[in-house]
Amino acid sequence: MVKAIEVENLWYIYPNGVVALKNINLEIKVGEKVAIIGPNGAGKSTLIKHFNGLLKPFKGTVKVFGTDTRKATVATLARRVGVIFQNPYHQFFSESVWDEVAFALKNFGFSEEAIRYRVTKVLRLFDLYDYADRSPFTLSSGEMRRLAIATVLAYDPDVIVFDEPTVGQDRFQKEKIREYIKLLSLQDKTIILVTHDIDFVAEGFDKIVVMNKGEILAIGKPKDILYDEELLTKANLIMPQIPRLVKEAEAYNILKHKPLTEDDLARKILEILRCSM
Amino acid sequence: MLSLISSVYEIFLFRKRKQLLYRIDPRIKLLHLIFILATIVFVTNVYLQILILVYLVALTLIGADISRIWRSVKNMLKMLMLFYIVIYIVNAFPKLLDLGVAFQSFIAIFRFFMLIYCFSLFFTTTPLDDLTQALYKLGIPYHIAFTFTLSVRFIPTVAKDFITVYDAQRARGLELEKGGFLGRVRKFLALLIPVFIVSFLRVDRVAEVLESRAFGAVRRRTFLYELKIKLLDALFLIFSSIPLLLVIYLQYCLLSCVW
Repeated sequence: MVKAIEVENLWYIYPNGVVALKNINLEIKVGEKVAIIGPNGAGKSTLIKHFNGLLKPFKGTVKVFGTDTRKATVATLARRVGVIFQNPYHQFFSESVWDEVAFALKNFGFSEEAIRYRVTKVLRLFDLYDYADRSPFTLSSGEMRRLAIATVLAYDPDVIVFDEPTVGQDRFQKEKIREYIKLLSLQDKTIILVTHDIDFVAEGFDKIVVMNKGEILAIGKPKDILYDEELLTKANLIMPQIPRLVKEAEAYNILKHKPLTEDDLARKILEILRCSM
Repeated sequence: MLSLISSVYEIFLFRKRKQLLYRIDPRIKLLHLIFILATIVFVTNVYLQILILVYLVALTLIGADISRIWRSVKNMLKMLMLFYIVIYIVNAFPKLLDLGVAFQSFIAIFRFFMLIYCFSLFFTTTPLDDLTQALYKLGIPYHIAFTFTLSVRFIPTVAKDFITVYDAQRARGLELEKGGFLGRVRKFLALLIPVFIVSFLRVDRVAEVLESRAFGAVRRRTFLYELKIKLLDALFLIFSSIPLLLVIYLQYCLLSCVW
C-alpha cells in the first residue's frame, strides 16, 4: 500500500520553548481511517499541522505522498491534504455560501467552469444548495459544520483531516459526521480524525493513535486500544461505555468477546440469550 | 506577519513568576512606567537613550524574565526594520543616500522600540486583576477600569485567533505573499473578517457572562486581596527613579552646558 503520510523522528518545539512533539513516528497508508486521540495538550493538533505544512519539523521528517513537507509550500501540500478546522467561524468570510466553497478552488487556480461544477456538486451533497446565496453566518451550527467540510471536499484532497469535529455537536450531528466519513472512505480517501471524544472513535476506524504530552503512547486496532484500560488511564482518557460494560460483564464471565459498537453488543447479548434458552 | 502577531500575543500575556517586578504594586509600576515613557520622550541625546536601554535591560535582568521579554520584542524588530526603511525613504527622497536622515530615522525607531519594551515589561509582569484594582484605587470608576483591563486581556486572545484564522485560510490555499498590492489587500480580508466575527461573538458572550454574574450590581467594589503599598514598593520607586533622574539631569543640565 502507498504511504500517504510518513512521519519519522518528528520533534517540534514552539517558539516559547514548549516541546509539543517528541520523537513521533507514524505511517498512514492511502485509504486508511486513522483516529488520533489524546487529552488536551497532547500534541494532536500540532501533529496534524505538520501534514499540510502549516508547521515545519524542528527535527525529523514529515513526508506527504513522498514529498518532504520542508521542501513544499503550504498551498502545494494543502491541495493534497485538506484540514477541516474545529471552529467554522475561524474560516468563513465570504458573503455567500457559494463564494465560501469557491474560495479554495480559486486559490488553487481551477477554471470557472470547474468551480461551478464542483461547488454545485458539493453543495448538493451536503444539502446546502438551497442556501448557496445566503451568508455563511446565517446558517445553523450543524449547517456551518457541513459547510466547513464542503469547503475542503470541493477541491477533492486525497487526505482529509478532521480537527475535533465532534466538539459541541449533539448525537444526531455526530452520526452525520460519521456518515460523511464513511462516504469519503468509500471514495478511497485517507481520513485522519483528531479528537478526545473516545466514544466516537469506537466505530469505523482502522487504526487508533494514542497521544499524551507530545508522545505517541500506542498505535493499534480500536479493539486493542479501547479495551486497554491501563493505556487509556496513562493517556488521561476514560474507557468508552461499551468496553466498560463488557469489562464489568467479564467479571461475571458473561461476555468474552470485545464488541465496540451498540449493534455488536446487542448481537452478542442476543447470541448469549439464544444459547441459554 | 505571523511573527508580528505572535509578538503582540507575547507582549500582553501575563504569566506568573516570582521575580521582583512581579511582586511590586501595580500603582508603583504604573507610576514608574509613566516616568520611563516621559524620559524616553523628552531625552533626545542618543547616548542617553542608549543609557535608558541599558537601564531597562538591567531592570529586566534583576526583576523579570529576560527570555520572556526578549521573546515578546524580538519579532517586533523585523517590523521596526521595515518601519525604518519606510521612514528613511520618505525623509531622504529624492536622495538615495543621506547619512543624517539615516541617523535620525534610526533614533526615531530606537525610541519606538524602547516604548514597546517598556509596555512589554509592564504587561508581562502585572496581573490584570491587580491592574484593575490599582486603577480603581487611583479613582477610575470600576466599570471603566474593568473594561480597560478586559480589552487588554483580549489582545492575546485576538492575536491567537488571528494565527488560527491565518492557518485555516492557508490550509485552503491562500497565499498572502503572492499577487499585486490590491490583490494582497483583498486576500487580507479573508483574515480580517473571521477575526472580527469571532471577536464580536466573544464580546457578546462575555457581556452575557458578566450580566449573569451580576456585574455592576453593587456600586462599591470590594476585593478579596487588597493591594497595599509596602516598603519594597517604596524602595523600588526610589531606586528605580535614581537612574532616570540622572539621565534627565544629564540631558537638561550637564549636556546643555557642554553643547
